[in-house]
Amino acid sequence: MSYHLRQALLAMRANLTATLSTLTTMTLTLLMLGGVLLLTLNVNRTLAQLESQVEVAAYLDPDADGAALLRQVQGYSQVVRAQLVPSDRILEEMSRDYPYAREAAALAGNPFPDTLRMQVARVDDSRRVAVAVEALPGVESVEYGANYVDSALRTLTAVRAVGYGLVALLLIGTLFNILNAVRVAMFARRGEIGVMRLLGATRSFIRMPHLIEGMLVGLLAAGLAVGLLATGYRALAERIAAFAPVFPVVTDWNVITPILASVATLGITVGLVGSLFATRRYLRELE
Amino acid sequence: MIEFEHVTLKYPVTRTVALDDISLRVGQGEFVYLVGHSGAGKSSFMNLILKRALPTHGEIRVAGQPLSHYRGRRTPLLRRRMGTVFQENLLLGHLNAYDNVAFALRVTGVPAREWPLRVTQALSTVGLEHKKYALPMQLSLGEQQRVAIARAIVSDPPLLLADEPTGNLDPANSREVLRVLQQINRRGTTVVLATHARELVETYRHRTLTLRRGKLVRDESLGGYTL
Repeated sequence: MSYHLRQALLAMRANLTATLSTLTTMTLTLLMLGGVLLLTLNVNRTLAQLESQVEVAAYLDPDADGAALLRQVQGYSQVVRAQLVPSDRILEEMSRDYPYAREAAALAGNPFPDTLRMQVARVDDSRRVAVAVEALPGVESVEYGANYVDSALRTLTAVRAVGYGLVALLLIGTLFNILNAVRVAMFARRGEIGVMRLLGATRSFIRMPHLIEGMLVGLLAAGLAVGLLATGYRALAERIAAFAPVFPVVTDWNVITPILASVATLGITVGLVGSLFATRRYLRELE
Repeated sequence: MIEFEHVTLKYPVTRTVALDDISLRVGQGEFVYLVGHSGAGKSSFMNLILKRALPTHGEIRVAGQPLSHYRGRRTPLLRRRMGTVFQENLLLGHLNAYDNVAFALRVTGVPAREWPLRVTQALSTVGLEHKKYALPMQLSLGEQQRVAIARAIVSDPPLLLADEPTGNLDPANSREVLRVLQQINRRGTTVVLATHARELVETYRHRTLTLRRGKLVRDESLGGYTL
């Protein structure tokens, strides 16, 4: 094994430009992948929090049968909880936030209608529930906090999709980079490989230094990317917690570590797979 | 040791017939010259035995096994049963004579503890034990070729294929290489030596196979160079 490792290190040193180029591309790819994964983790956490807060409010006509409507919406599978809030209580709530509301009501009467408040199981359901409730007789209008959630969801989904797309492209690029680097290394050793074949070396013996080379590049890139990700994420999470505590940033390393480990594993796997392909193809061309 | 049965080798791209219906047997422990002009088919003959080319027709057996037995991943096992020496010595420039010879043991998985004895024996057979630390560039062409022979025999193969091993050497060095091959043959190794050097064939008389345009035109058991 020490022979193969030495050969791998020699090959990496002999083709330093190709090795560094592969290392840089792979580190950037893994950094980006790790970034997208951590972003997704936090987005999911934020959405979960939003989901628990989003509610659909249906404002009822003055002559509507609130109790009947309440029973009806309670029958919807997407609705987790529903309650009928009379106009007096709404005025009370509003007066807490806006004291002049009570004075306005004393002059012109209570402007707030009876309201059905519903909490949905998933934020995606809020639009569907809103549309269904709005169509019910006795419901004047419907509001749901998912308006802003919808746009946030769309934006974050798009960002996530673009992120994954870029990572996929970069992974393919990295794979080609490794293929190229290993091919160059094998070409540089073509004399030695020719002698090995004549002497009866097995394919796995000939390939081993290059497989190690691919794995080493993957390991180095993974180490760099995970180190940078961990340091960067910790610093960012601390800043967000200090300046925007409203965002529920994930700081539990029991959750973050498996993500970083999977990024590292992917790096090593890409390195190994790239060199596997390259060596197999090169040896086939020789036969 | 080697059997050719109606072997034809045609190169598909150029449609050249390199070997045409060759049938012959080379016995265990024989020393055989393979002679012919350039392009007669000597290297094609060697390449077939080494499985660097596949016959278009016919069958080849080495040590009783048909070459088709050594398919794909088994090809290295075939090559471990034969030593090879070429006109170009193919030594690795960054390794000294000892390491070049030991390389053959390394790539075939021979335990490192066995290397010193076997490498020293092989180098001593070719008379270069005293130059084991010399790099190829510090050796003469004749010495380099003898190191290549040491590397070919260090695994103690039953068959040694030498394709124009003296092609780059002066007469004195050529005779020295031939003497070494002769000595290896005396120990029981079958030697097939492809050459177009008449003086070599006349030096030590052995069975001589003559190829002309891919055909085996003469098989002289008493030797001698006649084209």
